[in-house]
Amino acid sequence: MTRTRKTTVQVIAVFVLVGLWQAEAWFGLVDRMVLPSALTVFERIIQETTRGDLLPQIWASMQRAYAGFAIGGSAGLLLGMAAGWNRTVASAIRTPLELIRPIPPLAWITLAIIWFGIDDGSKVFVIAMAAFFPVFTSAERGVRTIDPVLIRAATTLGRTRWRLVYEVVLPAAAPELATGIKVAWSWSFAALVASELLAAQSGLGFLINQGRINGDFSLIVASVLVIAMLALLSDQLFRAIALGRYLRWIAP
Amino acid sequence: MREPFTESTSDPRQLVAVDRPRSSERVLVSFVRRHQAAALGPVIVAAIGIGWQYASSTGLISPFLFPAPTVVARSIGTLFTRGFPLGVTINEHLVATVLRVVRGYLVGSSAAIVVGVLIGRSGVLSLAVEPIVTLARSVAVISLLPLSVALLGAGELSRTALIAYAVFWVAVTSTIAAVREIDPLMIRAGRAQGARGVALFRHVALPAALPRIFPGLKTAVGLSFTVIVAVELLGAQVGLGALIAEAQRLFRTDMVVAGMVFIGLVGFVLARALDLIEARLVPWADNLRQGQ
Repeated sequence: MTRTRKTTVQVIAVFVLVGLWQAEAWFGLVDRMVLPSALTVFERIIQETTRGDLLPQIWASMQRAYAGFAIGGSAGLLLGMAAGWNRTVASAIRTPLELIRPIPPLAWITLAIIWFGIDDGSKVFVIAMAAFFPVFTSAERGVRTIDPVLIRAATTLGRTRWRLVYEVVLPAAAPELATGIKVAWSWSFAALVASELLAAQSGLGFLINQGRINGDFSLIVASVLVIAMLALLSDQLFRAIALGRYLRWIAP
Repeated sequence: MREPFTESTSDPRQLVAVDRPRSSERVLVSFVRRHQAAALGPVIVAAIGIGWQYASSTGLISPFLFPAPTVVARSIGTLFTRGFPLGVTINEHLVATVLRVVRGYLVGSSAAIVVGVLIGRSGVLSLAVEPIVTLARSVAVISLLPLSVALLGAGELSRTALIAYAVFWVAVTSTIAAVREIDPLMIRAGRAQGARGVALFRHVALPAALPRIFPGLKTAVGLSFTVIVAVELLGAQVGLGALIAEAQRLFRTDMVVAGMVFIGLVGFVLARALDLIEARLVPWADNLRQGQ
């Protein structure tokens, strides 16, 4: 199937979906107060944006997401690479980590609130927990499964330590790592929204909470859509940058 | 660390090693060396536990923020006897959470397999739903909680619906992909043997697709557990999430940690359970994956 035909089919599908949503509102199958029509929601998004209420909330959310993702992701990257490289390190940290891995990241929010208070600290901590494990696992596996011939060849050619890591180990582990980072980002995003719903004075989760308290359902649906769009957008961005630029040699 | 006894070798150096007398000290050293790696993890966990106990009980770190392991152990005991909040024992929390997960998971995954197979059979349909599935998966499930409560009430129905929603989109993605990727040769071979309709589906298509459906089903288990903990944190009377939320409101850090221990246990058991089911249900999965 050609690319244009694929795009056509998908665009039509999206329009059909939105059309069904709008038609549902005209026929009034579901309570209009609870599920506002598509047009109402789009109007609401535009209205919130032009009034300047939406962008600051998005900014507040994204700051938390990036901070937590950066902290958890780099911790996972460093520990994972160390564990993949050195078996002693691996056996030392595996048991403690396996003990906390089955706990969903969001469950840390209660402890995080006690430890860091109700401000940004607790949310960043939870997001970092969400980002840590996917990156750790993929970095560990990526480094552990590098073809030893690559390492030996590079060593023979005089690469040691940091240049070896930077020029050989990282590129060889990159495909595995890219998957882990992608998962980590989507988990971070989910953790962000949930933790903001639980306790926040700003951000997209806070907007939903406001809608819930005021019974303002078009605000809720608008926020849900904006969150989904942001997640989608950052995922596409990641794909374009990471896969397009740095990982051209792996099949899509 | 190779064992010269078990290997037939012509390497003279190793033959010498066989003749060398082994004192008990030597045996001990080689034993420790051999099991060093495996023992390191537990040793470190024990060291952290002991250090934590010491620091917390002497006040080096705040016993309120970091309750000592013995304190947590006592709270776990309390959870079994008197319960927390008073009268609600851990059994009730566990049953409530696990039942919610199982209910939502079964609804979501069975719907996903049926819908996924139907969509996967058609090339145009699979293409058409792709952006819809991507968008639906991008929706943070927990952000739908207010809507689901408004539509379905604050009871179990809205919780089941949320878990089912989360499970559905993950499972439907892997089901569609699995059906699309069935080797056409298998279908043709099945037809050649006289299989038609349901029989073809039951004996050829489903066994061929199941190994690739399973990764999605496994991801969905973890996801459904995450969702239910979040839902319970936001508002429920019983359940593990409700337990730690209540403990946090009352600043009972020891109870929060005790609750987290059970959350970790349930998460572990759920993940392992699906591994076991997969091994029983699709023992041919490994072969297929290697053939990919």
